[in-house]
Amino acid sequence: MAEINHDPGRGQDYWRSLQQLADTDEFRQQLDNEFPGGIDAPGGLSRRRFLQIMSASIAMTSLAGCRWPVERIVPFAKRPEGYQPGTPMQFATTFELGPVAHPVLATSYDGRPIKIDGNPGHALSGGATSAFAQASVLDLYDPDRSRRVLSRRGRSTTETDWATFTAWAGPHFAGLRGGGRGVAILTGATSSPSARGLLEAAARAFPGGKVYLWEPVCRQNEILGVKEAFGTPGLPQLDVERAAVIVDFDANLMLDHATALRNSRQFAKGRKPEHGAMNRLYCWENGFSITGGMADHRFPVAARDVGAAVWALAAELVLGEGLPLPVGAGVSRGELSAWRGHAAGGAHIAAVARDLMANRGKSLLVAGLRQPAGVHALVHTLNTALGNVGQTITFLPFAAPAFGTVEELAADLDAGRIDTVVVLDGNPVVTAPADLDLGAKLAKAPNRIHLGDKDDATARLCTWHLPKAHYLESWGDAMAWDGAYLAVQPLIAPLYDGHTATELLSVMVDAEPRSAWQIARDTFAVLGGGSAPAPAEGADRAFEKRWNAFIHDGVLAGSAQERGQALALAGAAIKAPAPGKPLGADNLEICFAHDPSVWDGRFADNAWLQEMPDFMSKLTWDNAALVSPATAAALGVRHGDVVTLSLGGRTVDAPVYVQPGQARWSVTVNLGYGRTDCGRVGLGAGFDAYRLRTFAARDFADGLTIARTGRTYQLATTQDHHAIDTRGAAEIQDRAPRLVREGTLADYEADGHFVDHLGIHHPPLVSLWKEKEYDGYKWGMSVDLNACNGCNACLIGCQSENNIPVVGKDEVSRGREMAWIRLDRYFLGDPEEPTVTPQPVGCVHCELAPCEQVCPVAATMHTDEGLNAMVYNRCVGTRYCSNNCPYKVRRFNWFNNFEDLTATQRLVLNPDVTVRARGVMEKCTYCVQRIEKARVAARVKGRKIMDGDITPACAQTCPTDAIVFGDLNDPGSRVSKLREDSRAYDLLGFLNIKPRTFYMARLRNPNPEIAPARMNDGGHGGGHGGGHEGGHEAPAAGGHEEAAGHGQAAH
Amino acid sequence: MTPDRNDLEQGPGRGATETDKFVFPKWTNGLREASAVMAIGGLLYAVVLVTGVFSPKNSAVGYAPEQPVPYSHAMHAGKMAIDCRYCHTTVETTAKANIPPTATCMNCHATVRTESPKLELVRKSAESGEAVKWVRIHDLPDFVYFNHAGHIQSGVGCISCHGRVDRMEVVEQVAPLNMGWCLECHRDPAPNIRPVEFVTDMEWKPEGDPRELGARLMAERGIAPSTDCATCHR
Repeated sequence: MAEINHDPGRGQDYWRSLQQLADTDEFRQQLDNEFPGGIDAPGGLSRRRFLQIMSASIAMTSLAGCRWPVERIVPFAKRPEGYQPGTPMQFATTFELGPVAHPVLATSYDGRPIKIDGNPGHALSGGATSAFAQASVLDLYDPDRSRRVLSRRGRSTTETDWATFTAWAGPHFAGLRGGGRGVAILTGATSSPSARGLLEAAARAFPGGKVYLWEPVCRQNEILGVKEAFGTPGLPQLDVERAAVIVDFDANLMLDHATALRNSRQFAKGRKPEHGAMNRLYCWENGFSITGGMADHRFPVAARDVGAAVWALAAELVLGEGLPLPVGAGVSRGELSAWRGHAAGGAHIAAVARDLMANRGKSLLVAGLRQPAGVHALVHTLNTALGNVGQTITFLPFAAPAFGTVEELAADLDAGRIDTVVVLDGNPVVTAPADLDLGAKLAKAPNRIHLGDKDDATARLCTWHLPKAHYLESWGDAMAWDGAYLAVQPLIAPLYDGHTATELLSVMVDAEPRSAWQIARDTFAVLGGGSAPAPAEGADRAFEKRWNAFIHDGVLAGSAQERGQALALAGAAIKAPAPGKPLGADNLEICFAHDPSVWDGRFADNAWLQEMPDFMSKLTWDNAALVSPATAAALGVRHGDVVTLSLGGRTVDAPVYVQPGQARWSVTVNLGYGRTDCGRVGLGAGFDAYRLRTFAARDFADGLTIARTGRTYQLATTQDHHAIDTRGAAEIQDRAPRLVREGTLADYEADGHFVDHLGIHHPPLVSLWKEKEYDGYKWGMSVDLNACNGCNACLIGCQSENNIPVVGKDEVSRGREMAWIRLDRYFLGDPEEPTVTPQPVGCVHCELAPCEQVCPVAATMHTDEGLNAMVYNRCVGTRYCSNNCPYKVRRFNWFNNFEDLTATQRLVLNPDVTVRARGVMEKCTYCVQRIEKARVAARVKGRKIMDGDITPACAQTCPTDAIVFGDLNDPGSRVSKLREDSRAYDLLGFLNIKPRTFYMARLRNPNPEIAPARMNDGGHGGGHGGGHEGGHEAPAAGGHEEAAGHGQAAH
Repeated sequence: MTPDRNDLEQGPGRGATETDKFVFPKWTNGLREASAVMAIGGLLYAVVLVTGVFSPKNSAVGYAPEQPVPYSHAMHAGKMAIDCRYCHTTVETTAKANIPPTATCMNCHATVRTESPKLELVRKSAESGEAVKWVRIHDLPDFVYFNHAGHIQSGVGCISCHGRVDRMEVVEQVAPLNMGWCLECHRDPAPNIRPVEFVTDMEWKPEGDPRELGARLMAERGIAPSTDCATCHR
């Protein structure tokens, strides 16, 4: 990498990547050429040959076009009650990610699920949902899902069916009941009461074996931490909204935490300066998480030092600030004294402690799932000492099931105690700790049954493989983190002979196997105070009514706990983290992180998620070894170098990604890539970090060494794509503070209009064009940068709603990704410890749109309501519009991206949105299909469209409510009120193109003891180093608008 | 002077100065004569193409395919005066009017004309649950999003687009359903707007000037159809 031109004295320097900061040739190429790589036809055809084929096919299709195909209308023989063909319907169901259940509403269009949204009827969702839940609908139509029951004997594989399996399994399991060689059931974490009940029944029925639990991304530490502190296992319930000071210890509250959606929403609510005081967030973590991006103060430390930081904070609070240790605390003052001033806490630990002391009962400390139970216990002790328990944190009692570990399973297999292994979902052969060598040990059980959605590495080692039903094909139930009892109902019959885990367990345990529907109903009857079996359908009207209400709402009314209980400390001694060998170039730390795209690998075949850029690294289709710039320099490795990671004798080759803000000497690797046993999508993406992960070092370990291989690897990152700037790095430095405007709470309080002064002043803007009057609806959108944390949910929501294609790694590396929302993130400051500000940018629907002025065929037109509409059937693909777009939000279809989809894959497409063909430009439409739908709905009701009738897909899914859409002509609409807010500003407003999307400035709330309270205290335009003091001289007649050029002229 | 053939083949730099200029080969001399023929041919081609494309003969107007069941709208909607919405139940509330399920037919035909051979397929469908596969007549391109409810609720009568269905033994398309035709009405809807309660009434005639009534209803109900592309294309 070229030398980084970072001048620490310069103050506000924004950058999107280290390449940009260093102004490398690579970055300049990206800027100079918006459409890099030229056109090349698929399959290596030459351009000339391609044109020949094209002209021939045009001639042929124009002849064929004379015949209008005969279409059939196929109505029902008997239409189901309440069903209107061609009208989407929503059904409540539940998406489970490990033990965390997400209540969702799934949209069905004529019987096929096409979209997932959050269930607004449940507090943990509030209508929002994660990128994973949204993308899960794509997995349903994955062409590489396994389709048949497979029976493997020796080397031969026979395709068979469920009936054949049950005919074998019934007598087989009957013979194993009551002892002898046992049945081992390996399950992933599940919250389903039905599955729990059946697992426990199976454990009783087959005493020779056990139920073992393996979840690659495990939440045991959280639950065990509660047990260690309070003597009873529990699920921590956070109330972030009540917290004035929040300390996040590697917890990634807004993405990884079990209640991440609610945390994000509550955190954003606590950061509205208009509503009074703002909360403050401190964050200790090794990798740069989105929560770290939202933090007012982030301290990058190695993962193993996060625990030390908690101890250092505890020592500072107790010994420095005199916080009394509560009764039952598992630590003593003496034990703490050794930790006072520990390096992991950093120089500002005392300031943090003072801040916490000043906010007792209104603060919140949280540790992450990677941190050992002891760290959680100490955090709970501190929460108790600070009086937060019962206020900002409570606990729900949780009966932890007595399941064995995967290590015990390996031992039992080794000892030959197991006759039959049943793997319920998951791919443990790949994901289980590498030192257990589970693949080899599985063979010691003569009968091996695998239930899963793919014929994967585990399935290939089993004697039976059973296709698993997708959750949108299944009946079931789940428990949410707040104790709510949730329903899982199918929207479609299983596409491929799929069955649920409960059905498989029922075959093993029940004398008469039950259907998943019957199992869920039986559990419902029991939990409702009755007994199993549930009454036959229609036999008991009161029961049916309750059951139907449960299925309709997706949540059992009254089952969610708004708050848990306050627990009292139990007094068990908390073990301090053992001091390790100091970290350095020859002793690096490795930290295993689940991936924000593929989680633990289960979404490896999900193309939407694979192509979704990671928020911080902007990596697509790959994982990498993330190292900090200083660590990279010390190790002599550069971005894209392939290195060999060695840990305890295990090695794996991985490309290096230099990640600003990564903790020094700590290497983060994301799990779930490098799959060789998955479908077409995930094949060849990334490297397999599981190969380094052992049972003892599941979360992080030191002792890692890195050796260069001399090879390089192309990583497809989108970070320099579609850069808004065209005049080089100096200009970027000058302009970025105007693109992403931020200040501090003190700035805001001193001058509510500080945001306007961040731009340069300009003479009144005069339009060259005759401006249109908008007297009807005037659609506009607001994006609150103070709320947006960059979770990517809007990206996938948009992709799902608007049929946005996936283009693959090669095309992404050419800058041809299609996502309509580009989630920019601007780093600020020192590359080792930068701060970051996310900024989602889609088409801003300029009133005087530059794209429209250059389209030769009027394919992009303005509507009477101010939408910048894209008319696909007019577009001839000149791409002039994109060249002329100052925001770089237009995306071009280089290929027929939907051409190769199978009929099944096409089922996921939203029929309300045109599927774009090759050679057509596209971009955000403000979800015009939803606007038109709302218009008709309002017409049917005989009224006007009201505020809230229209919610674009991005706004609908946003957990922080950062995106608000509405009518700017309606003074009562939310968006109009936000437009009037002093934090509102236009992106590139000085171009006088009048964007309809506007942004609300980001505010930070730094602790004045740690950082200056003011970022923008130089008054108008001053204090940002980038220097546009010249703006003062310009007449500011345009009010607080900004101007182009004047700041430049002054230099 | 005609350059020597050898000079041409030798290429630039080798031959005399003449080769620096490009000279058309001999066979091109005939093109001047041919150009007249080509112009006439091109013109003819254009005329045929344009008349072909715009001829009503080649639009779908008059398309009246044979249906699997010889259902007569003239009989049901005309003679027996069954309201359109008895079968097309969703037309007022959703985008699609929807073809009725077989069960709707059987509401009457379970007791009426139970032996009719014309109804053989309907009875079979009701029994087996297999749908009757009707032939679509009014077919818009896939990139056009038309919404029945929006039009019905604005007071556009069925007759405006579908014609006198109550007189059709076999339903046929009466309007071209092309974009120009849609826009005609979107630009000037007044003549086609009627009180919502009369939308399905095939015999309804306004008292006085339909344009005047339409204009009044539009003002009253805030009907202002858009001609923006995004109204139908998205």
